[in-house]
Amino acid sequence: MREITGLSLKQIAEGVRGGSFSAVEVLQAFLEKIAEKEKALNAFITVNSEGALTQAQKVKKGQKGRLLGVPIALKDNISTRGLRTTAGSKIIEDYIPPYQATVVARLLAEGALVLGKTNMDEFAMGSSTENSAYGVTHNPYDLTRVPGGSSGGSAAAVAAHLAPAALGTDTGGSIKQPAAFCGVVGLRPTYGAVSRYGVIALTSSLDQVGPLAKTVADARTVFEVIRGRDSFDATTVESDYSSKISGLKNLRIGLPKEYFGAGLEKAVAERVKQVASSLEKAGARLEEVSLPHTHYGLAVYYIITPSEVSSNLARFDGIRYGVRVEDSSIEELVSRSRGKGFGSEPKRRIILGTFALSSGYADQFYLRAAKVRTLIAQDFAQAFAKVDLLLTPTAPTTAFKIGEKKDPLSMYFSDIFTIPANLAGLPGLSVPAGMIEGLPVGVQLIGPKFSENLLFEVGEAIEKEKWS
Amino acid sequence: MEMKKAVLDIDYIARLACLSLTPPEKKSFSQQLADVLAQIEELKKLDVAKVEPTFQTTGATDVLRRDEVRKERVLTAPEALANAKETERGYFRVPKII
Repeated sequence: MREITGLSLKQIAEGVRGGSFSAVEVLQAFLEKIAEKEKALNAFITVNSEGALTQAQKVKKGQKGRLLGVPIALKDNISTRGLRTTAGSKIIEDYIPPYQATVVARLLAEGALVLGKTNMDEFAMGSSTENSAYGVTHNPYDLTRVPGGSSGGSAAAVAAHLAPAALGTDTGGSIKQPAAFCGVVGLRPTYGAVSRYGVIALTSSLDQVGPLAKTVADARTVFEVIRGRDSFDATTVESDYSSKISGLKNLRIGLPKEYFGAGLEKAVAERVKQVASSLEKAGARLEEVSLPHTHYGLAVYYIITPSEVSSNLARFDGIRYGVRVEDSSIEELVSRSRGKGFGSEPKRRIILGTFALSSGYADQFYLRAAKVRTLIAQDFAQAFAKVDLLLTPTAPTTAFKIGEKKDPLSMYFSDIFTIPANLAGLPGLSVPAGMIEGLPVGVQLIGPKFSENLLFEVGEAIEKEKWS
Repeated sequence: MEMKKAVLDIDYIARLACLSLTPPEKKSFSQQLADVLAQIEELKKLDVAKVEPTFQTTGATDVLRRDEVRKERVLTAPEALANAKETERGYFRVPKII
């Protein structure tokens, strides 16, 4: 039999249910792998050894549960009752959530174990995990490179077999881009598909929780467990995921021409074209489409996100939780606590967002960005009148070197292909398509709202091909 | 609407955001944010006079719930205070305000 750490979620759950191995044995296998590799990778902020053991000891063979005895790693901005949750920030270094995020409750209800909390850019602001207050995570394929971000710890943990699957969050590309950099599957669900209750908010109109996994089938399993309406998050909706389209025959796949221009590494472009040809050979029809406002996505994102950030991060006041710097004035206490607790990127975004929403500027920045967001969403709607889904690169390059991107703008550019679909609320799946010079490369499938099943089906076709 | 030239007064914005910054932070943020704002100027090239803004993408409106207490999402006072650095007799403690 294969090593437990190499098994799929279904194989682990069935193995535990059938008595081939116990949940404790499964947990031990992953904890051993963590002990062996974590020092080099720094994928976790907290490993939940004792808590997960207590959970595993309660699992009995024969029990129901789609994730029976399956240890899952959670990005550290997802609240876990009684288990430290830092969001990658020093400002809540010692914060113990008094309540459970809905996604965690749903995983536990299916028999999963909480393996630990993974490293991330502070408050999910970043594309490399270098902004974490807990040190950078290293890419398992090349330790001198970043794993991507902001869900870099989750992606690295899955890629290195430290966890069979993980949850991440994706606001501008924070699941899809690290999945591509680490050679794993990452799904950013349709906005509203998965509850955000208990997820530390970055940009409420964009944040979604989704799975990172080794296979498309595993990502699908986790998605099916966590999705669905939650009365604690009014933005969630119940939807019918049954796809009207099935099979690759005559499937219309659009290649948006704006995604193959300047800034895209040549080898990545070639790989996406190869993936397109292989899908065409399997019966799909390729069509060039245009998303003319793609170029504006980044500018829209860097108004909307900081604006929502400046409001969402106002709750960190030094009084109810987190770093507190005493002062005789309450204004100074709050201001100094925030100054001490937040790292550079949250501070930058709070300042930018406060500015974008300030008197005299809100219309020319925030309102204008919200209008251009409409144009971007309309681009996609027009494209989906002609094609069933879109195939693009996930990121313009493979994983870059730690420390390589020094100014904030060049870092922001690594999300240019994931941001537009997110602004439109659409689902996106990043699927590995082999390696380029020893580094994984991913392709992104974007579909209409709630088309996740179609994305999984096409993703599996890509997965089956042997890529160099 | 008349377009105001975007000038970021970092002291004023930091005060609005209730965020104390060190002099080096003020200097580097001013420069970096000027670069970001220059990038954002791109949006002014588009005519959006007749475009409706998008604030959310689900299209949901007026999502209501019953006006009743749901115990599973109510924190007890000790739970609510558990992460605070300073508490007193079941309250959060802050400096004298009045």
